[in-house]
Amino acid sequence: MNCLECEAIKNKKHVIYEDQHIAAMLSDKPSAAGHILVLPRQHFPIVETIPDETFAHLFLIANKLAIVCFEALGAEGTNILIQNGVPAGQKSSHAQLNVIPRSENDGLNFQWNTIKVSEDELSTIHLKLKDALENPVQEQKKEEVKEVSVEPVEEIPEGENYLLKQLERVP
Amino acid sequence: MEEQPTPEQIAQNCIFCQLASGKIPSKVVYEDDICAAILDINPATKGHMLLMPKQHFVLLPQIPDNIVKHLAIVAKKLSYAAIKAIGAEGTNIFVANGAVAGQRAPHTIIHIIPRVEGDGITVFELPTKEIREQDLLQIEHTITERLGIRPKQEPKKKELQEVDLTELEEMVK
Repeated sequence: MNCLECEAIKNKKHVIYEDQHIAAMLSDKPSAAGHILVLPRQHFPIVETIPDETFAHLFLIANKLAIVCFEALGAEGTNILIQNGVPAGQKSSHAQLNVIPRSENDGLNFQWNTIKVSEDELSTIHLKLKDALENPVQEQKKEEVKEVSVEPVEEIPEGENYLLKQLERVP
Repeated sequence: MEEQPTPEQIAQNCIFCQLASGKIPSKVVYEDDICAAILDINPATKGHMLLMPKQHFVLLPQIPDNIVKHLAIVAKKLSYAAIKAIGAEGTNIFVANGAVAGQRAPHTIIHIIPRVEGDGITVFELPTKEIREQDLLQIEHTITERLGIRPKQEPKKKELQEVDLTELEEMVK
């Protein structure tokens, strides 16, 4: 697998912290001095594929490293940013979390412009998200798969399946 | 001497504490004992969610480990819900610690921002800077020292003193 991040972890390139599940390394194309990448050791392409415990650990270590940036690098603030998916700015196929030290006039700006959304649309979005979170689809899918394997295979009436008939003709 | 405000007073004065606890009504998409996620009514994109601990914290670095981990798992659920339920093709998960980092609320917020191709959001494109290898090594050294981890390599500060100039001096004579 030609994953730059997998290689970098293996070669311990600018790795500042690592454990069984995750590695943290300095970005060699940083947005600011001290820009840290926190990644799972295992190759996962997007956040949704990372197991919960590993993701929680990633976030925790990112938070600890943000504290270090503040205390040891003289940062005046920090950002934690995940670009999850190409439309969100993800450039690598290896899911990662950015810890970015900030200071006054560092040339970075994460302030977005806000958009207006109608009350109707907000209500629709609200209901859809709330429903999705109360009834997670993943769990439902697992149940569906189980049901399919339990159902007996239906017998196909002879007249309808010409493929079977063709096979029967083979001597 | 001013008295320190009680937790109750802090919660009363913090709009986000009140939003997280439901004292101020909002569009809550997720809630449990530790945190709540609401729709941002002035969003970056449709479905922009604000995830907050119910307890009052100003910065993510102030939050105890178990709550940070819990928030992370909920953030992951919220991200997945945006993709499954409202057609997001990706999400940005974003935290700002400190005004200089863009923090605008006095209460820790984890933003989950649904993204689609061509949505016009450019702020999360990370610019890149060139950095010298020696500067990277210096930062690496500073951080690993602070973490109490022995650095693999000391940055090479003494090289210049070791250069042997006698050959050059011979050439110049």
